[in-house]
Amino acid sequence: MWVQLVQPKSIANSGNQRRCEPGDWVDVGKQTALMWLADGSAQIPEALDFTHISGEMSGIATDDKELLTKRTAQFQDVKIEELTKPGLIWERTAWIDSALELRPELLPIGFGMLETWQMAVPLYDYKVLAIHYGEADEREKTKKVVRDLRCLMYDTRLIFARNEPEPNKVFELWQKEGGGLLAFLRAIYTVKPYILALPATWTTGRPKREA
Amino acid sequence: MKPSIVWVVYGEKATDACKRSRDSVSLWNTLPQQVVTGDIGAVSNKIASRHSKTTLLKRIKTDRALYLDADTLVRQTIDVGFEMLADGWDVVMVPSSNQGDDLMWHIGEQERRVTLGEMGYQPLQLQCGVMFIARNERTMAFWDVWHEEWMRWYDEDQAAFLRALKRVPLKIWLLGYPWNGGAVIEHRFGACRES
Repeated sequence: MWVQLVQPKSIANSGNQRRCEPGDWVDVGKQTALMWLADGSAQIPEALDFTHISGEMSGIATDDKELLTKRTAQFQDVKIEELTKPGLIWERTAWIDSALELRPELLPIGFGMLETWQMAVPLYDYKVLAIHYGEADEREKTKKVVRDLRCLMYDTRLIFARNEPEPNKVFELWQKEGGGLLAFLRAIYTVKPYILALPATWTTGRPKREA
Repeated sequence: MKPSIVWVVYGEKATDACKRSRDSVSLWNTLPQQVVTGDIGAVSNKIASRHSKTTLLKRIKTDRALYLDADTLVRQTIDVGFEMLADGWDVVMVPSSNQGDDLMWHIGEQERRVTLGEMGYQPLQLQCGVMFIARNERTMAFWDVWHEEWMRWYDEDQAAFLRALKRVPLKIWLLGYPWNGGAVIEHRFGACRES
């Protein structure tokens, strides 16, 4: 049973304990879920709609369909298509790089973000800025577009986007400029879509904690 | 029209800090400065300052502005932020350094819980103490909604900002920590809080 945590929890998963944070969605046994709902440590907001991921108008685009099919096995009706380069297929598309260690529980939430935003993309790292990344030539090229390299970058391994002119233009420019994080940054700055920055933990995993 | 720099100031500590902040800005530019203050009948300086901040766009006189918390000090030129607004961004700002476990740590338990419920996920927290703002139809609509959301609890403004963004999305360019708590703009977080 899926619930959203209000308080941090340690959850057993295949014999390992996994730390989950407030706001995380977790799939736990019904008894546990009901106990947490009763003591207020978890909730199920009424507004959340899980149909986003299995509807006719949404799906996943990836570079490895077989792998993504395994990783998203819990969403049996989700459509997955393999592309040779990132692109948008459905009205709402999640581009997922197969190299990403996907947190599948976030997929319905990401698709849900597209109710409000044209794009939703996790940040790459809060402390690694464009000025720290890539080759000098490309940084210089990027600075001419974004004006100041002391800015945050997006992790392009996971992109939720509506199939509209602005996100399509971002994908087109990004690929034309060779892909990569700085190219994506230039494309975003040039097009200026309504983009929601998601926490870096969407792609880097949960924050590591000291024992 | 030249952009401006804006502060919201209530209380003695904030007044002193704002003077230092204004002096630090003056080392780098001659842009017009505006201090929003004055009695609005609030029961505390904190409520007065949040009220004024979430109604700021009704008060500023320029098309582009940099809002600075009083406890900030500008250490380098900041002109490029205004150029970003001229390029078409609505707001240029920096994420909070408090994410994950520390998300909304300063927000009351009930507001935090309701916000997470309404958002449906753990959002990226944004720091509202340094913001380059374009004054346009989108931001005017957003500020109205931000004020509405703030008035639900009359407390801090950051959770209200996130709830407002869900209702009125903006074109936001995200800068890194040097711009809020670093080499460009130093931020002495909490220096103006009254005990």
